[in-house]
Amino acid sequence: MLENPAFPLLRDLPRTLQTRLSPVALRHGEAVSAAQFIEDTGRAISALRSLGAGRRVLYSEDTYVAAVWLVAALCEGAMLVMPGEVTAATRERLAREGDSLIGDLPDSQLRDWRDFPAATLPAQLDARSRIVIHTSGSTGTPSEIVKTLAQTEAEAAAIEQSVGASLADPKHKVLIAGSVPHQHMYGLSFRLVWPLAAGRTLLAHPLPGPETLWSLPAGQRAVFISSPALLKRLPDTLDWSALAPLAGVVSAGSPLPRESAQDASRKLGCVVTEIYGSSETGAVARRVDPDGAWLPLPGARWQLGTDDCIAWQAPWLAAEFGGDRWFQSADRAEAANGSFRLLGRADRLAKIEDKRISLTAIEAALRALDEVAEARVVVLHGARDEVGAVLVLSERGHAALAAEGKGALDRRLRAQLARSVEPLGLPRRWRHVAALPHNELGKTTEAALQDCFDTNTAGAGHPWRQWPRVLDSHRDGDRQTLTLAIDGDLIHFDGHFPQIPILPGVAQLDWALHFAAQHFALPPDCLRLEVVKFQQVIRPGQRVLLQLDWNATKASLSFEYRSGETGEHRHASGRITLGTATDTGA
Amino acid sequence: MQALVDEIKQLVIDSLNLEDITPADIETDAPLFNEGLGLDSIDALELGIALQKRYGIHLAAEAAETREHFRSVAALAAFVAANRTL
Repeated sequence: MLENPAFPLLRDLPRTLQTRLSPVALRHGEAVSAAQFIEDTGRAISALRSLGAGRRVLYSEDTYVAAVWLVAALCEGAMLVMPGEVTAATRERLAREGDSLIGDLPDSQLRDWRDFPAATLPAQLDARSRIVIHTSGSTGTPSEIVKTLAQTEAEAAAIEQSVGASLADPKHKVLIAGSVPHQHMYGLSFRLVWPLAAGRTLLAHPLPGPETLWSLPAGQRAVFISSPALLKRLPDTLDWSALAPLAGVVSAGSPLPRESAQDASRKLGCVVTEIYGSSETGAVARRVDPDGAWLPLPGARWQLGTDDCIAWQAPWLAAEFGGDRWFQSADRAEAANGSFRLLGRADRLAKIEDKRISLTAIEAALRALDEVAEARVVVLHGARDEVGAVLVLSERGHAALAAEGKGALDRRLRAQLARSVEPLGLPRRWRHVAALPHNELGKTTEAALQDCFDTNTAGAGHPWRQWPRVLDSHRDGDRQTLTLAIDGDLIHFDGHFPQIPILPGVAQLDWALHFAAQHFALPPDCLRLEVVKFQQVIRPGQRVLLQLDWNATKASLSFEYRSGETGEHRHASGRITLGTATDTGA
Repeated sequence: MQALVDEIKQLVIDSLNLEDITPADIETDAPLFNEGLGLDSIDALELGIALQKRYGIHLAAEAAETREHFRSVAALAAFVAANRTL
């Protein structure tokens, strides 16, 4: 496994640079020697010493410039922040916290090291140094990941021992180029730290598009650090036969579809190595067969954790995820051939009216409420996209339901949720159930959750389902009494019957179940009807009382439709037994 | 005015397909968006369309002004009363 046991440690960089023969970088078409790099870094050290205390925030799109500042900061034991981008908010924070901006931005405090004297590099990099990088923020606001020198070093070593060792070319000849920015974890590890530590030459400028690959120098094979975004879009119109074969292609960010991997492999003249990881974990696994299982990088360990999601341990995981703890990802996986396959995300990012919403986050926020024991949410696609919540209430929740009624309780829960969930993610439909629906494997499926709404939701796919206007609704123990306006334009009167419109019995049963589901924690299925009687017809324009009594012990719902001053006219009554149907065909 | 207020409450419930809520549950002076009823940006669009259909009023392109009319049912009723063409 360890083809290169004598791999030089990043901390020894000042020493290994002394004997390094290969250029550190290729920049503006010219090789930058190790001696030049040592001098530049020495001047950068002096430049950093001219700044006050506080963190150093580095932003430069030139990977060589970034490498010089980074190594200088590592020599000085500094806290170096590498933001994905420098926004107004970043600048504000810098000003407030007294941090210094260095690099290529117009308002950088340090833009160049040239005018500073060259300091001598220490024998080793300073172990107290920290590199701070931002997560991509795809699931929320970007957060900071803090890496120590030892962690950074460990990841670079693992990359060299796996990806590096698999390269066909002699190591000092290969140029490390890339399309991804080095301001994010993947680019930082592969385009900047790995080449520095492994003694490989880095290309200072990014190659953002496929056509820029032709700018690679002739006579030196290159490794292309890229992503599916680019590798999926290699135009057939370019003359790929005129491109010198690459020494390797690395892809990370999301899985590369098999066809794209094969296409890229053919056009670029080498296999594509896919890397699995995240800002939190760094690179932890790789594969070269797009249909195959992933292999952990040397030193990384995995296990299946919560909900079959993969969890990681590696010497390069940041402190908050490291030590004896496993970093729990939201990627579902299964064991395969001694390794694993990925099965997709578990945190279920949903698009709601074009906005990305994390359903997992909504569920977590719901579960955090005192009234809620268990919660699952689904996206309902009716007239508009909306979130539906299926809840199992806690004891306190049941008490609140009895005291406040369903509508008021749901609105209160919604208001509480609004503190952490954005408006489009707030549930608009609520179902209280005795237990979450589950299939024979004990899994709560998306389909079963959708069913909680299908049988009870206005409209959704059932044009004949419509509800009367509720004029009043009040609760008394296990009894809910609603006043309903039976408007003449209800769909049920359509053709039933042309001359004498009357409300069909089936609609009355449907309404009773519909409103009961809103007010009581009903089991999902209707098992049988008992003693159902339709005594007097209900006509358009009438105003009726619907009285619902729920007996949770017997799982029995009694209903009664009445009208008149004192409710003296009884239209219909009956009992419905509910439960969970044994075979749902799941 | 009370009749119009009730009518608008029902319009809000119907046009936004709100569940488990009756006109009596909507406070006339409470905010419709964010706090209060907690309606969202899509609701604002839908409600605008419903108001236009029902009362023939057109909401200003100026977002700040529209936000003011949408502040509460009371504000909405005043706006409808002054601008309705149907």
